[in-house]
Amino acid sequence: MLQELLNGIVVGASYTLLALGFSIVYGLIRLINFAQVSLYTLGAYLALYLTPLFASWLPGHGWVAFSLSVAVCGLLTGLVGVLVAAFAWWPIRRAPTISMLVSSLAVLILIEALIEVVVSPLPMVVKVPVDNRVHEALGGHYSSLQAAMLVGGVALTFLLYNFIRFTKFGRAIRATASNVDSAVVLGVNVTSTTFVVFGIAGALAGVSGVLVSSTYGVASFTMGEIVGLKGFTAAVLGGMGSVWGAVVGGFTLGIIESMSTFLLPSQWTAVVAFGILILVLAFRPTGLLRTRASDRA
Amino acid sequence: MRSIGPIAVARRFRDPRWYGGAALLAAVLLPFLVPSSYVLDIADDMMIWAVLTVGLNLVVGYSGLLDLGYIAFFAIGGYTFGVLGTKLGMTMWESIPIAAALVTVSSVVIGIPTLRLKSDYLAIMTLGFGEIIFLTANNLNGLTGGPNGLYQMPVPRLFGLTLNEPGQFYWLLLAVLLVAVIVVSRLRGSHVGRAWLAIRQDDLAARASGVEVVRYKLLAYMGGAVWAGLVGVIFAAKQTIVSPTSFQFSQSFYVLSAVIIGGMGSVPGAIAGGFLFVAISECLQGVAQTYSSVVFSVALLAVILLRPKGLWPASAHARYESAALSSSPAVLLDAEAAASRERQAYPALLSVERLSVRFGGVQALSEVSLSVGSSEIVSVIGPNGAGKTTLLNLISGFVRPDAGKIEFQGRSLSRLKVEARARLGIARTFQTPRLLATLNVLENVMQGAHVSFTAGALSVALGLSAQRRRERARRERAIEILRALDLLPVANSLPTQLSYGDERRCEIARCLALEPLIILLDEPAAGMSAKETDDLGELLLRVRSLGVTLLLIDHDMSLVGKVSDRVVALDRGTQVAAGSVEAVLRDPAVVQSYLGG
Repeated sequence: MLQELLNGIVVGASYTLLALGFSIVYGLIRLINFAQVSLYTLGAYLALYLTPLFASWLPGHGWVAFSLSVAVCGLLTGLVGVLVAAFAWWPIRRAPTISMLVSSLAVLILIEALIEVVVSPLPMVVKVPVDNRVHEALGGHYSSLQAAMLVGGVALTFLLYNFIRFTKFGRAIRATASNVDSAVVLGVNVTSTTFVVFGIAGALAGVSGVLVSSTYGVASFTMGEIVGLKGFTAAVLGGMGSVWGAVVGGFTLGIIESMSTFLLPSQWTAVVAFGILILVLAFRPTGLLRTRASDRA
Repeated sequence: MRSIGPIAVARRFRDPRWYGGAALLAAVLLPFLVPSSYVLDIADDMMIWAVLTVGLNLVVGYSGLLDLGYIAFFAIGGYTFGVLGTKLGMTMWESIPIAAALVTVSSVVIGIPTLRLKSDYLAIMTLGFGEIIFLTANNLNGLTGGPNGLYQMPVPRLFGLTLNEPGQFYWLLLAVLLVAVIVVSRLRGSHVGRAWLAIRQDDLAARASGVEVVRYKLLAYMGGAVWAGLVGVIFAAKQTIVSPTSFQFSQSFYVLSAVIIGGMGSVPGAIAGGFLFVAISECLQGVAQTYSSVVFSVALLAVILLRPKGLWPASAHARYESAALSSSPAVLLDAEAAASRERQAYPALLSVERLSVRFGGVQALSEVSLSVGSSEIVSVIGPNGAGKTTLLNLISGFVRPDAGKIEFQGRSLSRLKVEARARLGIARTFQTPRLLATLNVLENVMQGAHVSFTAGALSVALGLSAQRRRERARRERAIEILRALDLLPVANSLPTQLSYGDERRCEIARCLALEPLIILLDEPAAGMSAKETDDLGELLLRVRSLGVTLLLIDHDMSLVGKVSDRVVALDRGTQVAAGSVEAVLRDPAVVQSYLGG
């Protein structure tokens, strides 16, 4: 029981990162950014090359090399996120929502397909140059990488929250999210704000992809699809557009899913997540949390 | 006899009956001209895909519902035959109705909670549904055979013939595709199709014309799903095996790509997209199979970014041909419809009592009362922010009041939705015209007549003659209205090509098509020239003389003065004066509110 709780919390951290990405883009321009899912996968595949590279530069400092790899992959996927916004969203920003959704979806498939063609259609084994010990806590056990995943997820969420809450740029994001027209009047550069938000969402997804693939030791070009669905479920569960909503949704989903393995084999967790999505949309489409204006992004 | 020039021939070839007939002829001749089982096998696949794209086009192209799990219904069809065939020995024919029922039920289960919400949630829900069906097929080994799938279903028979070769499935698939095309085209040409397109364009305008949005969305979602389920059964029979790989998310993506690349909302585009998909996959087969996702995602991006209407864009359905022009005087309102309406004596047609509504911190309307009698023209005036549009929104049902009541023909409207109020004969225009951008003027007006169609989608699909007569009558009626409003010359134009004044009048034409008892006009003269405003005044008086009541909001005092029987002045949500035009305009409170103070 405690073991499942622990696993759920760790997995929840990765859902939270994806949910945050969906949530901030949706909060800003009311678009479900499917492309973000492929950046999760891209992050994992970049780390496949970068982690061993950095480890060879920094022999004996496995954790430093791994942290560096996480950061660099996050930056790169963030950059790709901005490029996606520039090429697949910006030109059609005035088109009907359906065109934007399809364009985002096409980017998702394109990036996945490129990974499949360039790297391999087969799942890849991910090796991490760290001393991945097993620790005991609360009557359960967890690995060092799982701990890193949780710490990374929480730290990034904390960073993002403070960024949105206290920086000038964060205010620009909040202003744009609450009303584009008045944000323009107030002198906010809505275009660059939106690009940066796409970048942040991409970076969060990329980091999440690296952490998950490193912790569980495997990456595949379709790894993002189900996880993306779960990240979205987490965002809806907590309340689309809210940072705390994503956190609450992410961890709640992680824990429920992990607990559900008492009842169902683990390959059915996606069904559990989807069931939650249906129930939330049917009965409480605004999510579990009531969104406050102050933490909307 | 007239001679037919090359231009006339070319124009005639644009008529779907011509190229459709030519395509059908080619399809019938193909097995005789090219009796190769390789070619026929590919042709079979093309037709399976074309049924899928024509079906999905109804969902995505007409109704604008982004279905990312369409292949799930194909899978349900395939596995229905797989399971029933292998476990119970049922035939393909027996499986089809069961598959159709299962598909219908599952589309309702997914559709009802989702279709009420913003349309983008449907995308994610259907994506999830597709994944779940795939996972179920892959993991539920006992029932579905797991990753290996199911095989050894009974070989289908037709007219004593065993269907086990591509050439034999060819005729069955051709028939299914033909039926799909006919049914989907009929739906497009009916009030059902116009309602779908209206929802896709602007669901507020659709609701104001009486379309029950959720019901029609569900109808579209179901109507699309059924084709996937049906052809899924045939697909399973043709392949002689069903396995999860045929139903991955990528397949849903390919069908969607084919629809969008072909041209959203265009049946020939959908077919072309489906054919193209099979042709390209076949070319990539063996050479560069893994590149197909790259090719299709790049093609899809290119179309979305560079040619959003697709390779074969949808064209207008109903067109006005000048030959039908008659010289009799135009009739504004259907006499029959007007006569059939009960003309009871009410104290007032519309009465509003102590209506209040608050938006956040703003009291938009406070205790406003108003009554409008039959065949009256009542104007509501007031400066910006006085609550005029809010009043119209309350009467038409877009906004719910916090207090007060609205009665129409003596019955309370408070429990009725926008679309139900439209059905009672309450029509409205909008401050900025909300015409349907992809429909031409004639079709816009015909869509406005939505409430006068009673037939369901099934009788449209079957092409019942009562429904066809009604469609023809409504079309003639729409032409009459256009003629009365001098809009006939632009009947085939798209709203974006209209002058502002024409756009306004086209909105009024849409209202008249509803055969209304009352029309709520929100600043109809805004942006009109003096001449146009003058003509509009004449038109409003003519409409009134036919027994239609008008509630008018406008800033143009020449119009208000010319047509109004009575005027009500609002300021900051409260009523400051009411009475005859002269009295109200001279009222110190009204002068004060306009000039500030």
